[in-house]
Amino acid sequence: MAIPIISSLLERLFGPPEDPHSRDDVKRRLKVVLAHDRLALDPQTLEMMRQEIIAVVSRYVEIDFDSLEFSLATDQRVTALTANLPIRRIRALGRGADEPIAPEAEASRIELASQAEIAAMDAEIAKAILRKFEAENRGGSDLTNVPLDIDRSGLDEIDDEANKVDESDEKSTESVRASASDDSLETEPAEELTPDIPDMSIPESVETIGKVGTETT
Amino acid sequence: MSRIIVMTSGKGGVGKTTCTANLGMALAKAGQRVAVVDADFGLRNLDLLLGLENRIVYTALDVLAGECRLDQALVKDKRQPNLALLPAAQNRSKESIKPEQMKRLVKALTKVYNFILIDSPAGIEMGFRNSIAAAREAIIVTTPEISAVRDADRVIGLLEANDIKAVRLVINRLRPAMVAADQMMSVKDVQSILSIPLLGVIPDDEQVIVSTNKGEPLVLENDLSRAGIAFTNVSQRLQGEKVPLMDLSIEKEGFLTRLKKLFGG
Repeated sequence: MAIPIISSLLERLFGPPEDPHSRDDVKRRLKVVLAHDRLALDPQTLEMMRQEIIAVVSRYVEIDFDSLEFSLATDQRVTALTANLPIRRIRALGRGADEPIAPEAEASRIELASQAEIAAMDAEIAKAILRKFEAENRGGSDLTNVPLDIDRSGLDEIDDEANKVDESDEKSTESVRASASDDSLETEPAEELTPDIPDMSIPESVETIGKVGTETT
Repeated sequence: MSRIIVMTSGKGGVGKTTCTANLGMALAKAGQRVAVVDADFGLRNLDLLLGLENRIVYTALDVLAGECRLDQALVKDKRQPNLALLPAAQNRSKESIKPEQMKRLVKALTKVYNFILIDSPAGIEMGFRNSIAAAREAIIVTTPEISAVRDADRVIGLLEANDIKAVRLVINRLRPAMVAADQMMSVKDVQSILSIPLLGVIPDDEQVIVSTNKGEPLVLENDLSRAGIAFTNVSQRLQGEKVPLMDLSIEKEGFLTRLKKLFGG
């Protein structure tokens, strides 16, 4: 009996418990709906644009698809499209060292790497080549000859070194690769690394982009 | 040169007709010669808010059909001789008149009146197109609610597309206590979303309903209500006077106020 009296007394003194502010909700909802109204773009076109933007960006970087956001915002009667595309990693280095460099990678920004980074990249690429080599041999495929087309001069020493590491602990190399590619967000591939990659076939990512393009157009 | 102003909102029920009646009356009180035109064919109400419903003989359609002269259709207000109403036809649809005909009517009115307020119907169809056909300026009436603001925004876009550049905003039915409690958009919120110049703010006021019951616009009262003052202010701003916005702010009840209330009653 006493508790309701006390609580109502408290409420009268301190005011009712804070409601969530619907004013913020209405402003947020209005901004979104007005951006769409003002643009007068039908949802299909918007979706098409969204997919094409994702496809283009995916050519260069790997996007975190779970948390990407597309929104239309409006200010002073001007509408802006805002795309928030969280990048997992740069595609050229993050290609999983076994995958070829996409032809588009050349167009991306290339910065000078530090000595330590170059060494790390060299080691990583050497390992990748070896892994690919081994994988192909395991299958007993005729394709084993393919890497031989590439000029491998000057890489033999590192190759041997990498070979040991690879054989001794497969798991540790995986983790090294992962961390190296995380760092790689700033250090993009140096151009001269390209010849080290044996397979120049069109990568998978490009194929999916092509598919998206045809679906949407 | 006469000013031809359309009162519009997109959404219905936000107070277009109330604003037209009060603004027209306030302007007439200030000595302007005012014609209010009901462009809501089929659902006319402006005559009711002005209390002129029993004096309608001819409508705008009769004028266009050549059955009477324009001055015969105009209902002159006896309380305020500067004000005249051009009634819409009640038994016809909005398609019964064309934008060109509306232009002809309004053009004729400009010979005598220096303010012509056109009360637009809700929506953005034919009735709306008729009502903006002759207008050079627009007053957007909205309430601080999501649907009203959205529709207002749409109408602002249509007005711009139809070359009506002088568009101003009246925010109707504001409830300051709700704004203070962050449960309603403030004047600033609405204005920044719509991004057009603010002409005035009308607080939510029960007296509006009382005045419509009587058919007597609020601005005619001797002792003006808060909404009546706000409408008068809007009419003064429309004539170029600098009138500050009414202070509608309500302070959040502080602890001390509550303590006083609790013990002082």
